[in-house]
Amino acid sequence: MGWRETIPLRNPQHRVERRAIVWWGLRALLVAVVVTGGLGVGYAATPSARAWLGPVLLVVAVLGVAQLLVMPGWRYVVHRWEAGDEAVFVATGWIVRYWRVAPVSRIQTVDTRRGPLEQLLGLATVAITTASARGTVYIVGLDERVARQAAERLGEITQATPGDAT
Amino acid sequence: MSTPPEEPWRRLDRRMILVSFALIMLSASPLAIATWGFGVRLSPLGAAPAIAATSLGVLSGLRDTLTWIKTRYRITDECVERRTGLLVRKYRRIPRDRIRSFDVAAKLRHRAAGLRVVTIGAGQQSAAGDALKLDALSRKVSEQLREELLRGGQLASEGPEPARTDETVIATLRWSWLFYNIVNGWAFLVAAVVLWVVYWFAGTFGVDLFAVAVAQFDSASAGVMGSLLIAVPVVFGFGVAIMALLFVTEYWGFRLTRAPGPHGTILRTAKGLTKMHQVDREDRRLRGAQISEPLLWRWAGMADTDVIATGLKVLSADSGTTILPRGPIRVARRVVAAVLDRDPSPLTEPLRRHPVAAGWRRLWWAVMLSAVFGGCLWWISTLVEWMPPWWPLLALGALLVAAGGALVSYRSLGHTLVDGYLVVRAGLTSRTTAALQTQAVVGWTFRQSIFQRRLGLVTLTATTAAGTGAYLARDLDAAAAIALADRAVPGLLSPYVARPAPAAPKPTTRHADTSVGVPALVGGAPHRLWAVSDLHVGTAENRRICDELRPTTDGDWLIVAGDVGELVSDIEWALGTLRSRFRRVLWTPGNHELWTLPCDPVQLRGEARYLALVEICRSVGVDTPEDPYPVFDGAGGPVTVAPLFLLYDYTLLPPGASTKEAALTSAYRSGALCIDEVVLHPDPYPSRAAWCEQRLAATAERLSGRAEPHLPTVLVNHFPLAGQATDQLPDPTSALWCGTTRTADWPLRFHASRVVSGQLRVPRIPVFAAATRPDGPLWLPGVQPQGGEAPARLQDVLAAADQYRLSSWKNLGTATARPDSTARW
Repeated sequence: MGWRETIPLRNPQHRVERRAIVWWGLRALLVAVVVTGGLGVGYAATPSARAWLGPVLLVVAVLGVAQLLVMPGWRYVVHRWEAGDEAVFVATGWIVRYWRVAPVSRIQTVDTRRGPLEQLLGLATVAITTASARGTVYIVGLDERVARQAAERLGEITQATPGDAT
Repeated sequence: MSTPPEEPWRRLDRRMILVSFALIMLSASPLAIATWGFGVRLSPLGAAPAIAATSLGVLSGLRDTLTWIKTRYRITDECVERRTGLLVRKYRRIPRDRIRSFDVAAKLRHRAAGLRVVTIGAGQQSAAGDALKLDALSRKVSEQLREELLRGGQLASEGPEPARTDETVIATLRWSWLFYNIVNGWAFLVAAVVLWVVYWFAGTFGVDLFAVAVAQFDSASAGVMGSLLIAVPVVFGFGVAIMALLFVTEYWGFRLTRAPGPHGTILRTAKGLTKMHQVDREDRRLRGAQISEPLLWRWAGMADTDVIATGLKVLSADSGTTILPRGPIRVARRVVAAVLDRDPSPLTEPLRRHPVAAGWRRLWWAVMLSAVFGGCLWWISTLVEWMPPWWPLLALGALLVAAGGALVSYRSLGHTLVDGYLVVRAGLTSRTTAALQTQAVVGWTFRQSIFQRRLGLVTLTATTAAGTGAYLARDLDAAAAIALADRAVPGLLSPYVARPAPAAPKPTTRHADTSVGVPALVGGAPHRLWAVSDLHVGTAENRRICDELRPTTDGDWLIVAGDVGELVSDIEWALGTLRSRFRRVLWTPGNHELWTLPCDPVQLRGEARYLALVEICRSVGVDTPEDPYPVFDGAGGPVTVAPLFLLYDYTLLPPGASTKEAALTSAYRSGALCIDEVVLHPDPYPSRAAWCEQRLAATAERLSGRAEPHLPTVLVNHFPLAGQATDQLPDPTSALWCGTTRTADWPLRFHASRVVSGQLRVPRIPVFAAATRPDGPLWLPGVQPQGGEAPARLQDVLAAADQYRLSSWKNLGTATARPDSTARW
């Protein structure tokens, strides 16, 4: 059975890089290690708290492993993007999916960001801000070159499109 | 008036020094009085609060003095500039065209000295301290500054007080609202803080107030519960009294007014007894308004009123967005109507309910959260001994409260699209209805969790620069969410809307007539204009048929020529379903839509019912006779498609009848009276004929003034436009309810290439090619779903097949006539 259509929107054109799976995996691993590690230290250090810390630790560890196994691949299937002359259209998420549309005429800034893990993998994030404090659109898991080109192209289109930035 | 080349820098008002000195003296007085007046020997700990207060006052006074010494400001033609700072020189400049707010405030000490603190804001929401504050200027200078900056005038050296006559008062405070603003949970906190401060200050003077209170109160006789029963109301009452005091000082002389400004009008609130405060908001920055009804106050009909505007901070304590203290909701609505200059205001429009699945989702969450809560209780009960044995009752109680919350939350959901405003309503603890201008929408977000996906729901978020930045329509039907967003900002979403998928891959066996039948999916074909009528989705069979209608291309249009159903909920379902599949759906009402049946929860009659249906259509993205006539430019186009609603006026007489009255009497006697006479109310018109008269006049005017008069038209009316179409009716009497003779010349008059109608009790949708075809009228057959006898057929309106002429329609029409149907339709 195919991926059941959930909303009558088509998929954006481009997938993100396959390397993004590794990036999501590493991030999930880091979070899981920090949280379970912290709890584990607590468990080892305080015998009196073990009665209730044990089950909590177990649940957190199981959830962490499950996320590590499921999330990166799932995200790769879902994440897509496309930047046309009229608008930017991005699909993200995994358990909760998001489809975002931002018209080019309302875009204020376009910039690329690279965290340490992203630099390691040659990935970049494009952040597209609009006048809305809650309207920023992120495209994650792009090849750094693609991200730079996309940002430049969007910048050009934004310049050429008469906008009303409020 | 000529401006000097270099605008001189100016100082703040020198009375500030006097005020600062007074402040220092005043703040030292409690300590002084305690020491010398009462001869209290101060212990370092006991005197701490008094010393802190004194030092605070002294420091504040010193700071004000230094500010006065170091601050210079000037206003040039381009900007407002200020230099200040003791160790680090600060320079702040705001271009005049970026000034978005001009606040004037005055604390008691300022008022006593006739001073005002002026805050000039550039309106960024993010950067803290972006405003330029001048603390303080004389009242006269502050007024002049306001005049200059907000009206673009020149700063006058001397002048009379500005006249206030050009202000329009929108609202003033009624003291009866006091109660709603002071009786709430905050009273306890306020009382606690005040009592604590008093207790400590008394401690400075060596008085233990707690001991005094306990001594006055015989706790032994009252017991613990009794003490609480007395103490809690007393503390609450005390808190309420303080809240009342605070409210009165804050809202004294409250006025909401509209006044002229430099860029159009401004919305101004002025209030305050000891601390006068005035906020100006430019109307051109208004993007909407919202009314919040907190859970318990909602049942008392009380609400809070805010504007949605760009450049106003939302989360600050002294928010400029609140334009009215908590008061009756009808006042709030009236004020919003005045503020948005739109009556009735978008916030009073009837809202569309959200799918029942949204309720199930909330209930599911309520059950899950209660289950987790119960599980935690059970777990704790296995670990500790102090859990009471009746803890399962706690879990049960939690479930009941959560389920009630789910119901309240579901019932508060609603949305609509009206006249350029997106209106959304949601909220459990505070039901908030927000109206946002669609032109202020800067993007869309659709959110769908896996649970929402199972239920076919989507949460639509409109992001905007104004207000909180995002306004949510929670848990819409997935297709309705797309339609809503598409209609609110036309064109933005259309490249991304999925092509409707075929219901099931069917073998390509085509119907005998190639122009009819459920159309097969044709890729890349030009868009087509389809028509269907008399769907009558009241029966399950017809509902299924309606649900199976599919376009051939993703750009196809569909005309629904009336008689979709009788119940408002049925009509909404059918049109919403069709709209989710066709690029554009155009609807005109039949007589069935206008029936007010006793079983319909919507009991609107006549014109009110019609207008309510129009609003429903708009909310699901369907065009109505009240909307601008669109131009179809697919296959056979371009043509202007005009859905019309004209009704009937009994001028189409059955054969043998000479007057309308005689024909009606005869119909009544023979028992062939149409059920319209009982359930189709003409309100507010005296009769259906009068309503028809009004519709004819209004519609003819709109058709004459259509946007592209050179294009041919497709006229769509449920009731046939041309009289001869009724000649073939199985029951001739029913012609009376089939239209009017006055539209006979309309196809010619309005350059119609096709006329689409329904209504005739024949299994056809007549498509009448008129005016442009010299070889006479042309009819196309179509089969209407009638009690599940035949599958629904879409009629391709513009691809007219020549073989169907009036004569062939006549044969088909008589062949399937139903003798028992006259009384039903």
